[in-house]
Amino acid sequence: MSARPLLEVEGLAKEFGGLAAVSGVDFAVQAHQIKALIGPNGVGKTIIFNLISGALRPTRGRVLFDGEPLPHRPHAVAARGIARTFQLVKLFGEMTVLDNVLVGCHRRGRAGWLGCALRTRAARVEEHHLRALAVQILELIGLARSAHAPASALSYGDQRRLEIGRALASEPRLLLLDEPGAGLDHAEQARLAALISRIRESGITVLLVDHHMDFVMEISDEVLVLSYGRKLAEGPPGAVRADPDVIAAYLGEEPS
Amino acid sequence: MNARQRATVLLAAALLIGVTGLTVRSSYVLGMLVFIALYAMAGLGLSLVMGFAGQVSLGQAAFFAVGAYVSGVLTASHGFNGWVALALAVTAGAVTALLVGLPIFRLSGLLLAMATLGFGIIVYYVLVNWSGVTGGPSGLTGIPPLAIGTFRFDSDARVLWLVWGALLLLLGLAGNLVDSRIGRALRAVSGSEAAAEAVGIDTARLKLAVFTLAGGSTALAGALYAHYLTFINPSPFGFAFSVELVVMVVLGGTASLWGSVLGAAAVVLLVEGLRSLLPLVSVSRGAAEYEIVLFGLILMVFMIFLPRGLAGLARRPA
Repeated sequence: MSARPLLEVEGLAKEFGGLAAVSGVDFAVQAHQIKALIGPNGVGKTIIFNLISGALRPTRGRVLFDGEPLPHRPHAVAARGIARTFQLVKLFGEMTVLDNVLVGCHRRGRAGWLGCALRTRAARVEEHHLRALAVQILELIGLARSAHAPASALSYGDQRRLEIGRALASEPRLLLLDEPGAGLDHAEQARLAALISRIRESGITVLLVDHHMDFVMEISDEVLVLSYGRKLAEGPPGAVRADPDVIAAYLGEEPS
Repeated sequence: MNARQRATVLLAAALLIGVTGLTVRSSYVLGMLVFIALYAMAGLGLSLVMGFAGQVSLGQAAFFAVGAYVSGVLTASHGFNGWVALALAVTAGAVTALLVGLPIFRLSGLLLAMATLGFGIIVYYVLVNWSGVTGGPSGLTGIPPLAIGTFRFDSDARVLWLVWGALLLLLGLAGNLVDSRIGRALRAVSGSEAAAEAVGIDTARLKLAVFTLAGGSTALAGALYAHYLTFINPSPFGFAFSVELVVMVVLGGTASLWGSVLGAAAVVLLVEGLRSLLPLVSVSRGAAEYEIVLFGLILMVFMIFLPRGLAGLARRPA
């Protein structure tokens, strides 16, 4: 394991008009790890994601990526090598499945306004190369056959995988998955779990948020449990599951 | 459409315009076609701003005026070469748009509409009051037509070739652009800004770039207008013209390249139709008052029944 974690969250806090949504959370994500943030709805998991990805500015605390503080604008965070998905799927519905992944490839391309308008040789070569890459990603997420369908025509589970594919296309080192298993049936969840494992094997670190205990415990190396904007427990799935505080917090939502 | 199909359509259109210039003798018809091209050029930029950046500009007439006056003043008062003046006019339009848009696109909401509304009014009053340079309300005369060597674009047919040539070239470039890495990013921004940002697209910068390009293309239309008419004054560049451009885009369809041509044609024909019909109905008033009523109605009807405009009829969602 590397000496320095890939992502370090230090004293991260977010208040909305004096109301604390996240109050001083610390944690770290090691490179090549799958780590999960869990906790009941409304506990601040998605807010933490938005703070890391630059969509929100923290009230206090900071986030270090590879030892350097992250900027506070989402596209700049993405440029550092952090990609994300959204709790409610945000695809470009009117664009094709392939084009969605190609948008994900945006930062891999160099062609500018003039090159694109003039269709220079360099721009065409690059486009060809990006398309081949996008097709590979579609194969990885199992959507190659739907490449030319509009994204909005996909089933919900396929849309979730396409969103992951689009994020992968941006060549991230860290992938943030916001409730990837939400609304999926067991078969789809199993398929998703396999995809996440393959993503980790390809060298990408994964941080995910979910409230499906079973799903999270199965795929994660480490779990962090949140309660009312604070850290309740952190550790390997087995240890966290046995933690009395966690059991208490989840009472009525039985951590099977 | 792929690149080859686009090229075919553009060549066919160029051929048609070439033949029109040779065969049509009516300067009324030719003049109308020239104006359709000029309006389409201005509408093209606004269509991209409204369609991709999700913002409306209510001061697009001001960029048209900037183009017309920069090129007009430089050639008529300072003896600049027409093409140099044209290039400087386009640059002035683009730089002005960049400066107006710079503080706007980092913020959300319809701030651009407010800012451009104010900008349009300022430009109008500058044109009226800065008489030493602009000639004030009576305007500027003696703007030379553009020329290549001894070939002067001084007849309706020749200007028709010039402006349609420029428009088709712009449409070709814009078509390539929309169908590229940059175009995908633009469509992504109009689909979901948060998702576009999440894959590293600087949405604010992209929208500002679209607005800057629109400023340039509108200024180009303005400059060509000045060299066509050879005289300009501030009155056509008021708020009403900005509204007319918005109506064109809504009629033709936002984010649609050929929609801007359709919209321009529809507005020019509607206005001409109104002018020839009105004397039959009423003798007391000019057509201008009725234009506003008609445009208001069109805006409402299109927003409700045809939000994708005339171009949307051609490409119904699958």
